[in-house]
This record gives sequence, structure tokens and C-alpha cells, in this order.
Amino acid sequence: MRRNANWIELTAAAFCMIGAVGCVIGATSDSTAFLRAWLCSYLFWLGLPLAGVTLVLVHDLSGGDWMATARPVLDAATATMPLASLAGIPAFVGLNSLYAWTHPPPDLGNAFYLNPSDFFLRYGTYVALWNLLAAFVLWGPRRGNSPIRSGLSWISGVGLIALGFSASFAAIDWIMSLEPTFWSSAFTYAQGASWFNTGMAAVLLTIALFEWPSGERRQHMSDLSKILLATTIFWAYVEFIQFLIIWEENLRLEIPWYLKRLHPVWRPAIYVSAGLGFIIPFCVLLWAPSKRNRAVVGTVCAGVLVSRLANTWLQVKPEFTEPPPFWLDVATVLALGGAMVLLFASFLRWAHRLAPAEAPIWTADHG
Amino acid sequence: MAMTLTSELPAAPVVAPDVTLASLSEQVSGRVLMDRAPLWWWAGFGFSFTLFTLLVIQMAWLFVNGIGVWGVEIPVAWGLAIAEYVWWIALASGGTIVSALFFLTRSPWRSATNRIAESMLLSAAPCAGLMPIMHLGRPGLFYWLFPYSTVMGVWPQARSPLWWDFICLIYYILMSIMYYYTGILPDLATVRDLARSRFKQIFYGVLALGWRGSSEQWRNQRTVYAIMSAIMAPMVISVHSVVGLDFAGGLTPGWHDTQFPPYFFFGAVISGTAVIIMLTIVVRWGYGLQDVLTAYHFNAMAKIMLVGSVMLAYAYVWEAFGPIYGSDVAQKTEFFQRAFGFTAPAFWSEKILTVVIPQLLWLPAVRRSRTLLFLISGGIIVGMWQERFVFTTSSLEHNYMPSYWGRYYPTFWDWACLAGTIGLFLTLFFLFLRFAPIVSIAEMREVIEEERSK
Repeated sequence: MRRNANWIELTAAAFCMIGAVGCVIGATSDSTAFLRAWLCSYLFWLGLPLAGVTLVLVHDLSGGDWMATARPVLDAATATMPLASLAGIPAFVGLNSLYAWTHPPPDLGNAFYLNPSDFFLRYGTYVALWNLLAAFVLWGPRRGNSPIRSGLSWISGVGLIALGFSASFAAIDWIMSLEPTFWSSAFTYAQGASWFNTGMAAVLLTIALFEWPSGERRQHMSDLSKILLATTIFWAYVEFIQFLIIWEENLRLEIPWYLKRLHPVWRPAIYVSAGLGFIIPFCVLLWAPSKRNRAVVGTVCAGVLVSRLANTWLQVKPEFTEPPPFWLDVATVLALGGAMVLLFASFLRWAHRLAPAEAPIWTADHG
Repeated sequence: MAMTLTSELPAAPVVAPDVTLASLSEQVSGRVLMDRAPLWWWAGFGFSFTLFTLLVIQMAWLFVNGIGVWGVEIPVAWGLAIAEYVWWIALASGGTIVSALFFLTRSPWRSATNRIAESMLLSAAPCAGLMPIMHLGRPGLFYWLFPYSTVMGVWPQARSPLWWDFICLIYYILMSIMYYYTGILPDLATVRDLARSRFKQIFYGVLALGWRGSSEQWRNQRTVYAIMSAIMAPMVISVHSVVGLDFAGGLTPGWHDTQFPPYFFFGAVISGTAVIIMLTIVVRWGYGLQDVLTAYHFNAMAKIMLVGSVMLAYAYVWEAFGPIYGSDVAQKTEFFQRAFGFTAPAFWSEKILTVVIPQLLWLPAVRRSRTLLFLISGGIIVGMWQERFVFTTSSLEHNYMPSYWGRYYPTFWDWACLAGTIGLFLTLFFLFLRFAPIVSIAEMREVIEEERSK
């Protein structure tokens, strides 16, 4: 990691610059298209810190030796929370261009919830809460693979509940409300799982690329891969259940949401989202030896990341009669992603400096 | 994944240090082989069997007079029987979750409690299965649900979740029986080897299917058991999801909710674990298994129940928020009727019993107290019954047209059905308790060896 850190940071900075140039061009030529593309990028990258915080809090309550391998990368993922959470601002300054409920019809029944002032109040609450939890994850008294002191584990429990509810309401605010008359309770489960899978895949990909553990610690990768397998199955389960019920009922208020997404234009996104986000991880990771194979885990996780990006586009873009051009989508993903990876890699390098000389980063104490 | 479920209970071992392989076999087998059952067993069995006879009488009355003896009447065509079907299948599913799901996660606390969970599952599943058959109106024709070739040309509607449910339930019960039998096989051989009377040697010898404990037999048994666990764990989720689809697939306000499949599964986790905790407390006390069923197990199960309660609370939030946020007036009206109308006392007390009170389980002292655990678990089971009752009947009471609204009042025979199935459940469980090892001797031997090697 130490050898690779510089070129990763340089590459990330380069991508960030290229993406930023694209964003400037996009924003000046069509600001609405830029806002929509930026929203997708924001929703995609937010999964990284959300998963980092979630997994550390879960570990505080459940324990597990796998944390010895995952801790530094999870900490680095968590450290991106300030940037990731505040990255919504560029999108939300143009709220009118994104959400139909900003100029609602008189009969919109949920205007008590969907209005700009309450929206921004909730956004501020999410940012504050998530950053507080990230601080607790980074600076709480934890060592190696040990969970937090049992006297403080209640904070992790309460934090996890608060995180679950706030992320669910954020999913309603930022994605579901793009169609203000649509409601599906399973949507909150699916988006939560999708965010977690994004971050989990990024964490495992980082370990697979740079510091694959050896000896007994290879079991940790098996355990972490099992967690990813379980959550990809859960995501597919709730997505399918939601589709099945809405398709079966075929109601006026619900079925348009799927009809838009089943349009041939969006079929590739469906195939990538389901194929790389569930079918391939399921078929590959179910086989025990594959969970210990560096190349296999790395490839599957890269696929999951691509699938989550496709899924984000599938959730957001069909709601717009004029979706942003593909190059602008890529530019916003590179701009924010480059900055996120730069921060992520810098934190990992900083954590290296804390490690005793010659000791691998995985044995360093954090917290 | 090593679990640190008892990091706050360092003095609570998975099994007491003085339990040996021989003492475990004698302790557990001895309960099966004793000549006369203890008085408490007879008292419990007698009470249960009395309730069971009430079920038989109720069924006879029902089959002679039709389902009009229950309180069901249009618009409320689904009453207590369907609500209790969901309730019982949730309890049964909890047994599979503890037994199969936690086998896959290699949780050490599961070894001493899985047999209790499986016995509970096999006792609860028939109670669930009976409900829809009784509710058919013409129960003698229930076999029409099978997709068999007939000259009548009548086939089940394969697009209906109700039919999926029938198929799922059949497979679930059959798989559960095989799963239980695969796990208990080595223990039946242990009982056979320790039996002194010729009758018991033959009886358990036949059941043990010639098990001799060779390495090949063990290898095969463990492989089959692991494969069955891997099948049972997703199966129980799918079974309960299909039960959720029975409701979510209907257009009735209050039932149409896309979260119902996972929501029903959360209910299964919490209610099933609550029953297992109550039964484990009784078994531990009755059979003196304090060395095998330790504070470790109760702590672990209490945490599972707490997680189930939190997940259920998550689902309850969307149950309330959805109708308020959504645009469907009928959904909104039905929810307000449910929460503030005729069913309000049951609605709110159910939330208190299943979500508010279980939050006490955050406190280690509560998880250590078996009395409190017993009371909280009992409250959860009652609360889950109320939940099933409220959403089944309230939705039908408040359908789309107010002119079509009606009220459901259970009759004596509805309550007799509930009491009778509780009797059937307990009767079966007491029989398992008397004639089969209620703790997995084979798996506990592994736990003892592991504890010694630490």
C-alpha cells in the first residue's frame, strides 16, 4: 500500500481534475443536466462512508476476528464522510430542477413532508448525525479486532438504529421523492442494502488490490466475503419482492415507476445492476474457495461497484424527461470519486505512518 | 465469524466445566429412558391434552356446521383462523432460524438449544397447517390444491400467492421433519446403547437406523446436515415471505405493503425466539439441565430477540409513515381506523409488548434474569398474536367503500380454536420432551471438546 499510495493519489487527483473540467463544461452549458448527474454521483459515492460506519458499529455489537483485516480500510472509508455527506450541496442548491414537489400541484397530499425548508432541515440533520457517528467510529476506544468497550457499546447500538432510520429517510428524500406520488416501503430496505454493498465492495476491492492477508488471516477475507454475499442476496430479495408486489397489483400510483425503468433504454442498466450486483456474486461467492481467492474477490467486488453505479442511474435518471448526457454522468462520477479516493488513500497512508516500522498496517492500533 | 455475544458475561461458559462426555450422555438420555415421567410432566401433558380435546370438539362442530360457527362474515372473511395461521407459522419459522441459520454462522450457543427449537418447530407447524384446512369450508377437498392431473380439468391458480403458500408449507414441513431426523440420528443411537429394557433397545434401535458411529457415518451425517441447513435457512425466509405475499398480493388497504415479506420474517425472528426462550427455561428447570443450558444461551437468545424487536420497530415506522406519506386515501383511512378506531387498544398494546418492553433487553441484568426473560418473551408472543389479529381483520373491516365496512367479533368457537391449537402444540412438545433427547448430545460433545481445548 505504501509503495502504491503515491500513484493512487496522483491518479485520483488526475481523475478528479478531468471530471471537474467536465463538470464545469456541463454546468455552464446545461446546469439542470449537471445537477441531475451530480445527484447520481453523490448518491453512489455516499455508500462508501455509510458502509464503513455501519460495519464498525455492527462489529462493536457482534465482534468478529475479520475486523483485524478490515479495520484500517473501514476507517479510511469512514474518514470520507465529511466530503461524501456535504457533496449533496451542489445538487440541492438547484432543488427546483430536480424535484417536482418544489412546485407541487394543489392536491399533493405529502407536501407537509416534501417541502424545501423541511428537506434542508432533514439534510442538515443527516449530515450532522452521520459525521458525529463517523467521529465516534474513528476516535472511539477500539483496538485491532476488538470491539468497543462493552460500557460504550450502547452508543454503537443506538447509533446503528439512528443510522438505519436516517439513511432510510434520506433515500425517501433524495430518490423516492423524485416521483412524489410513489410510495414503496421496501424501497428503503433496498436502498440501504445498495449503499452498504457499494461501500463493502470498495473496502474488499481495496484489500484485494493492495494488502491481501496471508496465513490464517485469509479466513478474514472469507468472512468479509460472506457478509458481502449475504447483503447482495438481501438487496436482490427486497428488490425482487418490491417488483413482484407492484407488478402483481398493477396500481395507478405505483406501476409507472417500473414502466419508466423497463423502457428499452434502461435495460442495460437493469442487466448490469442485477447481473453484477447479484447473479455473479451469488454464483461465485457461494463456492467456499472463491472467497479466499484474491483475484476472484477483487473481480467480483469491482463488478458490484459497477452494478451499484448502474443501479443509481436506474433509480434516478428515468424520472427525468431529459436525462443528463452519459459523458456528464461519467464526469461527475470521476470528479467526486477522484476526490473521495484521494481522501481515502491519504487516510490509509496516514494510518501507515502510525504503524510501527516494518509492521503491516493491519496490525496497527487505531482509535 | 467468532461471536463475542457474551463479552459482558465472562463468567458464563457455553457449558459448565464439570460436564463430561459421559455425564452429558447420561444426563440427557436419562430423561428419555426414565421409567416414570416426573409429576410436572404429567401435569403439563394433562393440561395440554385437555386443551387439545377442545380442538377436536371444535373441529367436529366446525365440520358439521360450517365456518359460520366462527365470527367470519363478509366483509371480514378472514378472521382468527388466518391470523393464527400466520402466528403459528411465524413461531415455527423461529425454530428453523435458530436451528439452521445459526448453524451456518457456527454460533456455539445454538448447539444446546437447536433441538428445543426443532421440537418447537415440529409442534407448531401442524397447528399452522390445520388453520387453512379448517378455513376451507370444505376441508375434505383440500387435496384439490395439489397440481394433480384430473378428469375435471381443474388446476390450482399458479399465479396466486395462496397456492404458493400451500406448496411452500408442504415442503417446509417435510424438510423440517427430515432435518430434525438427520440431526437426532446419532442421539437416538446413544439412547439405544444406554437403554436397559429390551423394548426401548428395539424401539430406539429401529429409530437409529443402524447407526454405529463409524467415521464414514459421521462424515455423511454432518455433510447431509450442513447441506440441509443451507437449504432450510433460505427456505424459511421464502416460506415466510410467501405468507407475507398472501396479504401484500391483495388489493385490500392495509395489506398492500411491499415490505410485508421481510416484515413477516422479522416477526418470525422475534416470536420464534421468544417461544424458544420460554421453552428452554421450562426444560432447564424441569430436567435440571443448568450445566448445559447456561446464562450464555439466554444472553445470546435475548440479543437475537432484541435485534428482532428493533427490526420490527423499523417495519412499524414504515407501516405508519407509508399511509401518511402516500397518496392512497383508502390506505390512509384504514391505517387511522386501525390505530385510533375499534382496534386501537390491541394496536398500541401490541407495539408496547413487541417493541417498547423488549428494549429492556439492552440491559445485561435483564438478559441475565430468567424471570424477566420469561415475562418479556410471553409478552412478545401475545403482542405478535395481536399484531396478526389486528392487520388481518382491521383491513377487511375498512375496505375501499365505507358502505361496505363491517365489524368482526370472534365467537366462542374462534377462541376454542386458539386454545385447542395451543393444546396441540404443547401436547406434541411434551411428547418430544418425553421420548426424544431434548438437547443434541452429539453437538454438545463437540462443544465440550472445544471448551476443553481452549
